[in-house]
Amino acid sequence: MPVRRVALGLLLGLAASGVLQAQGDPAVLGAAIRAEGEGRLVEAFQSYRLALAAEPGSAPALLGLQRVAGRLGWTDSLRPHVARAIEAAPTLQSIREVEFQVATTGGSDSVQAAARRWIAALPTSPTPYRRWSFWLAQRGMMSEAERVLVEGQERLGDWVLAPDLAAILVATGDWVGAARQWSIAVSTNGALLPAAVTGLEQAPEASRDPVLEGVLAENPAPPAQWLAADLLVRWRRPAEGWPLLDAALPEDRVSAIALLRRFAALAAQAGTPQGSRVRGYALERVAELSWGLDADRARLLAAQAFAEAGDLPAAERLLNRLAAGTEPRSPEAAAAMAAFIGLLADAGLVDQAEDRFREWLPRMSGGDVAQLRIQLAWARVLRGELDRAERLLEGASTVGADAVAGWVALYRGELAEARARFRAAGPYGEERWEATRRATLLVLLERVEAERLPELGSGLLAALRGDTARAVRELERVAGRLPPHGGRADVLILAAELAVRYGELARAEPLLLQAVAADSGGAAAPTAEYNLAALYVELGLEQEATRRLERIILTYPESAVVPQARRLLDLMRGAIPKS
Amino acid sequence: MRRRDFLAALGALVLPRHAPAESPAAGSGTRALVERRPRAAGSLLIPMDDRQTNHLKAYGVTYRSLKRGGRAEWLLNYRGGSFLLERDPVALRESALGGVQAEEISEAEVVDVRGVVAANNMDAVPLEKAPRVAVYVPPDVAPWDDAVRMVLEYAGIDYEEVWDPEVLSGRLRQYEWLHLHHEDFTGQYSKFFLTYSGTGWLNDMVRLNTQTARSLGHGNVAALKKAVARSIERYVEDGGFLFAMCTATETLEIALAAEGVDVAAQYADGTPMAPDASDRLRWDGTFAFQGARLELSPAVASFSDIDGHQVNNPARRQPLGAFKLFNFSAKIDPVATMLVQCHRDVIPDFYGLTSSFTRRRLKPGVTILADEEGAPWVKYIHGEHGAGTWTFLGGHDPEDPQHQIGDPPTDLSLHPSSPGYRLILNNVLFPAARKRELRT
Repeated sequence: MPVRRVALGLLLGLAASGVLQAQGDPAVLGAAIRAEGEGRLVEAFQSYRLALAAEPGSAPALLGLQRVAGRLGWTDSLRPHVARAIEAAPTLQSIREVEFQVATTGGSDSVQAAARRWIAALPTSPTPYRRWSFWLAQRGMMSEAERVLVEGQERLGDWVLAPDLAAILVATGDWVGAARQWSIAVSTNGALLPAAVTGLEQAPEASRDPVLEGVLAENPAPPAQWLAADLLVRWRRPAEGWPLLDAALPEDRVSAIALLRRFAALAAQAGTPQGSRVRGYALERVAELSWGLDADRARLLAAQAFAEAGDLPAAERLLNRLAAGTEPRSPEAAAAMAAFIGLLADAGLVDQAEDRFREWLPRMSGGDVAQLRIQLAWARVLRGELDRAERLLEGASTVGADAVAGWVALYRGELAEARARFRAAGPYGEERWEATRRATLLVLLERVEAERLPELGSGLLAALRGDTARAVRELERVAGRLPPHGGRADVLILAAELAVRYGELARAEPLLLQAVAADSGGAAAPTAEYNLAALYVELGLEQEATRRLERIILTYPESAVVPQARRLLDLMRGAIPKS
Repeated sequence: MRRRDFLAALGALVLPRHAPAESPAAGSGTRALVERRPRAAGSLLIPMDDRQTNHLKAYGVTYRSLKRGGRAEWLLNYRGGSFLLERDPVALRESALGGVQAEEISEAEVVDVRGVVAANNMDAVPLEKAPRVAVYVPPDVAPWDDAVRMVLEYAGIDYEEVWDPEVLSGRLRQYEWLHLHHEDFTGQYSKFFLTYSGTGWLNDMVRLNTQTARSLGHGNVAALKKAVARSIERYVEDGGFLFAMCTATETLEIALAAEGVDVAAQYADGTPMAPDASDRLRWDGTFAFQGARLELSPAVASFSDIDGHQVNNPARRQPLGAFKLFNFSAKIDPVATMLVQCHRDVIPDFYGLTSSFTRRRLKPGVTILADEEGAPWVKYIHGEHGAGTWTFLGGHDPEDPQHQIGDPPTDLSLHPSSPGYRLILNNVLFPAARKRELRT
């Protein structure tokens, strides 16, 4: 466009005429920066040029000129300024960087020439190799990028460009080569460990063992072993990782603890008993390297990890040491024992748990005592020992204890007392899911008018204890004795839900059909029909399911299950994702 | 389209000049319009204001009513852009099943409604035919969701999938409406090639596109996509309706402007992008944009300065705000009014690989349907091209403002009244509002 060329020529002419005025004027650079910040780009361009005319090797002025030229689309005009800047300051990294960037507008040859000049001027700098290889990689020229970095390594030493080379090798699928590079890099600079793990953890399943061999090749330094341990734990193989880390722990206590804590946290993410056990090992080692409260805490966490892994002897060993090593009356010792008692109860070792509970009762906090009473009472209920559960709750006045007492009454068939206890507990106490379960049962109990119904309690207890067949049988028998509008449908629905939960789908259908027939116009009918539709979906009977769901929506438009019915219809139609 | 032109098209539809209304030569839709008058029994009003309980499925109820041969009217600006249907037991049942609020109103109440429409900035647009919808979608599964297919599925609106072979074989002529979503018509795999190198989905995508390009006689994927873009442009030129979102908007335009110019990175077609590509683009054949500057780095997942938000360019990324729908005159400009029917005027913005359109890159004559006040970008635009029209909406998923690769698809049953998704569905029913010549 001739007009624009003329305009640009005039502009440059004007700028050149001001050079002499700018000699020795440091305010020119400040004016350029201000003009650039305010978006007066042409003015900024002129001022940067003036500043460079006064001081050709000024990196701030050259970088400013580069920024503004880029925004104006005048990058080509940078070349003479870059040439003068290099002449004035041939070994300034930032000026070489600008030269390289300007060269990238001219294709591979000009990029190579600029990179070679940069290398010649700064022979000990890895930056030119890095920039050059990155430029090549961006254009998909991976083997050329790799060659540039290898050349840099040959001149500057293996470790200098190892992370860059590893990234290129990953991009080309050479995971083993990348592993060797990261091994070199972390062995020289331990701070690169997180980057190395991030760089290698995405290795495909089939490449993982070769990657480990690459990391651990030829007398690996401890950081390479830490890298291998970290990778193994991230690949859900914590038991293989632990010996590597344990054997290579650094002498420095603080560094060792940091590595162990990091490993323990990663092992926990595995969510497996093996992961928990390894977490226990790592935390026990942390406890050995720590003292005072820190050691106690680490030991307690290690005990919990061992308990989660099912290794109760290891957990007990640590807790005994904790209790012995601290002041017996200290809150830490009591808290540790409370945690251990809870673990014993959860593991089904209720007698041992209750013995320790009674032994430590005077020393434990009120909160721990209340919590353990509930936990132990539930453990007794699960064994069918309702009397012993009640004894544990004697004297307890918490909402949670009230709720458990309600369940015990229900399992005995004392419906009136269960209703009263559940109402007293309300929506509080324990966890939300438990409150929801209680509210659901309370609705059923309100419909069943009887004061006592031991068969219902016995059926529900059988369900709790996992004897589903007996539970379903007893609940069906109880339902048969209830009036149609007096809870029969609700108990049948409950029986069917149990049957479905334990995979007895064929058993559930007749129960639900009975429920619909028992209370066709009542509140339980839409729930029964919805459960029936869900059952048909499970059985692949989509037409039947659709018929039921449409019936619910059209017949009971005010029912609370209508939104669920619509959602299930949408899912069946594929109108919403199955997530 | 101005009201004069629109009504002329509508008049041609009601009283065809070349065939009497009863003639078999006239389309079934025409006969239906002439013969079916609102029955004395009244109508079914589907309100689209805040009383509506499922705005998205309301479009499906209306669409399926049209598909059954029923008549409907779109009451622009009346209670959020309501629909007036013949009283029809099937529509009533579908409304109940879908949770769509529908009101049975008498003939006298219909007259009242018409009075309100006549006296205000409102209009009643007859809808006469369920449009045939095609969605351009590759046969593989990309690791991101597709807002239009999701909303069509949710609303229960039929569509067919087309891809490069169907587009290049001329099958688009069978459809009134074509949707594009996240496709990259520059052939650079959304510029994720370097960032996601080695991932299975990208390998599959590259393999599929490369094989397709070869099988259709194109040297590389970039060349194939340019040919597809040209076919889409001709489809609109010949009278088709195009709706595009996200990257499809920007890359379709770049592909159309890049005839004879290499705009693809080396990894895509074996040669680097032409250094002067931006200067050589020719925008005279594009729909919406002009003068854009291309992003030169193949490692930055951004295509040009058309997009205002630059979500994948950390140095230039702009925060999300909210966009405001314009209020058009329903009686003078019914087309634009249809496209902005919504129960919300201001809608929270959402990112996409292309989130918005820079104002300075818009061609003169482009109708801005929604913008962010004070921002240098707009969100939703529309225009005519030959005998057809196009509509572009920036962003990827209106209910997932920062949708990431690998994120689960949005569950629309949790957003049944999504105002952003309503804009997509406005585009589905928009072609129903005027008679289309069947091209088959």
